[in-house]
Amino acid sequence: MSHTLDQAAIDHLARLTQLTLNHDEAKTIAAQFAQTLDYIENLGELDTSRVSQSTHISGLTNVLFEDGKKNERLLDVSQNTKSTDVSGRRYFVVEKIL
Amino acid sequence: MNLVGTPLLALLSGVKNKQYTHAELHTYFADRIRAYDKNLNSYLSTQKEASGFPLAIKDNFCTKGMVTTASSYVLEDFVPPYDATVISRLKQAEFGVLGKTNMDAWAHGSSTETSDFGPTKNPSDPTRVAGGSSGGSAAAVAAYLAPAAIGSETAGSIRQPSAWCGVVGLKPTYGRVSRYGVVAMGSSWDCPGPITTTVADAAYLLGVLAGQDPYDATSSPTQPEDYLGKIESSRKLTIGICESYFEGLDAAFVKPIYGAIEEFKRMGHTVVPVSVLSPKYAISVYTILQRAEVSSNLARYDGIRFGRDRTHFKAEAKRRMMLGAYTLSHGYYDQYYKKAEKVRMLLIEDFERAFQACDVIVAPTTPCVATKIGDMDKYPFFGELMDQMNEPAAAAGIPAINIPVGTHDGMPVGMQIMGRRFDELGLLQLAHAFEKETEFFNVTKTVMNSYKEV
Repeated sequence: MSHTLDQAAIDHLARLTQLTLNHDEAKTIAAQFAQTLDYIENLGELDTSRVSQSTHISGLTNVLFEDGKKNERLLDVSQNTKSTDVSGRRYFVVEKIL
Repeated sequence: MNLVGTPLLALLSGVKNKQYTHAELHTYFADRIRAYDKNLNSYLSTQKEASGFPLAIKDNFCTKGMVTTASSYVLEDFVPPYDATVISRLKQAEFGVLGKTNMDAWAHGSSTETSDFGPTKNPSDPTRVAGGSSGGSAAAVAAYLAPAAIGSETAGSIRQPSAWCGVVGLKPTYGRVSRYGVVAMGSSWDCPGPITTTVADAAYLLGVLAGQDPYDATSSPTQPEDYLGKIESSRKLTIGICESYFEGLDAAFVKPIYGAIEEFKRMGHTVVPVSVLSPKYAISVYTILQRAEVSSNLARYDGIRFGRDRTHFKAEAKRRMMLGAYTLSHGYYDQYYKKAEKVRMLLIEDFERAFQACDVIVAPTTPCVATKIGDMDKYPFFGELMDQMNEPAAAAGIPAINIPVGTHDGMPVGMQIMGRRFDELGLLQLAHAFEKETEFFNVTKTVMNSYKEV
């Protein structure tokens, strides 16, 4: 079975992942996708009817941060906003959407 | 100082005995980096002053106040406000950062050629790649531009560059070492680990790094062992060999691997054939699950809170995020993601079954020696192909260590030893005994001979 992805599907995935692709990138990615999707078909050779989906590799479940324990890694507002262009204003700035 | 090739533990003793200080060692390695790294490109940045015993750190570990790029333009100016748990543990144990090492951008790749800051060259032959994604860490250790390094592995990123550069690389069990503060790639796969010139150095560093971390919920409550203290062992093991890991490989390339297996027999270990699922299935599991996790993990880079916007992502990251979005999409989730999670369970069970008949499984770490720079583009499935022997253990979350076992075409050949979950000690004991018997056939020393004192 050979997979193909048309331009509309590539555009849709680019939108979903908030990425911009030029014409050459879109063409290359479509070709690579087809190869990859063809390859991973091999999983169909294996019978998985008796197994459940894997979750945590060593089986840990319900790991919770202890109640009342201090979060020593908590960063304050000035540390959190330090990496943005609006350093010192103590908030993040986003583009106007309305 | 004449130190080339001196192992980490010997240098630590030297500091303790006041033969040299952290600052003197820092200067020593900084001078070597200045002399040799212009060509190798193993470091992205170095620290001007010593802040402890110098170690090389892969540039996907957050280091407080020190740029952490993950080799991507997106994070070129990112200065983390906190240390990864790996870094804070190292600092508590007298270590400091010598420099941050090159890698494939976002750890997506197997040659460091996807780094936005140029590929790292292989110290044995600078026309070849160092492997990846922890290529800078492995090359820095192989050329003795650091006494040891910290790398991280999702599926091969410690073992594969270690094999191609001729050094020791340990991928611990998933959850053995905290992922907190590591630039996330595949969160259900990522494992930090040491890259060193000796097995004892790897055991020591694992002892520093291992342990549960309340800030990484996936880290394990299983108590770490005294890896260095218990490294000497005369226990005779049953070593499994799986032929499917050797299929299609060049006979001359695998000769050193078979030679190492003969050495194990000579040391009194028993070698038995074992059957495990072909690595080709692990490649598919990895391709689906890792891309899915990448599409989720890299969604956070919006350029609003830190880093640059998404227009700075390059081809490999784009390809992976989009494939992840595809396999997670409505209509494809069951066919791809769910199926891959089930096959991952089969792989876990498959290893558990195999380890009932043997203590460890040995196999080639890579399918060939380090490739030429630029060859990546000749293989449509380059990363998957070069990591194919690494992906089964990564998928199952079990530990594995690469050790040098010889050369082919003048380039290092690595063998991996895979073990039961949390049996890092067993791997280290066997690898250490092998090193004592063979000195890794001088593979590491031969590489370092080209990087004399400056």
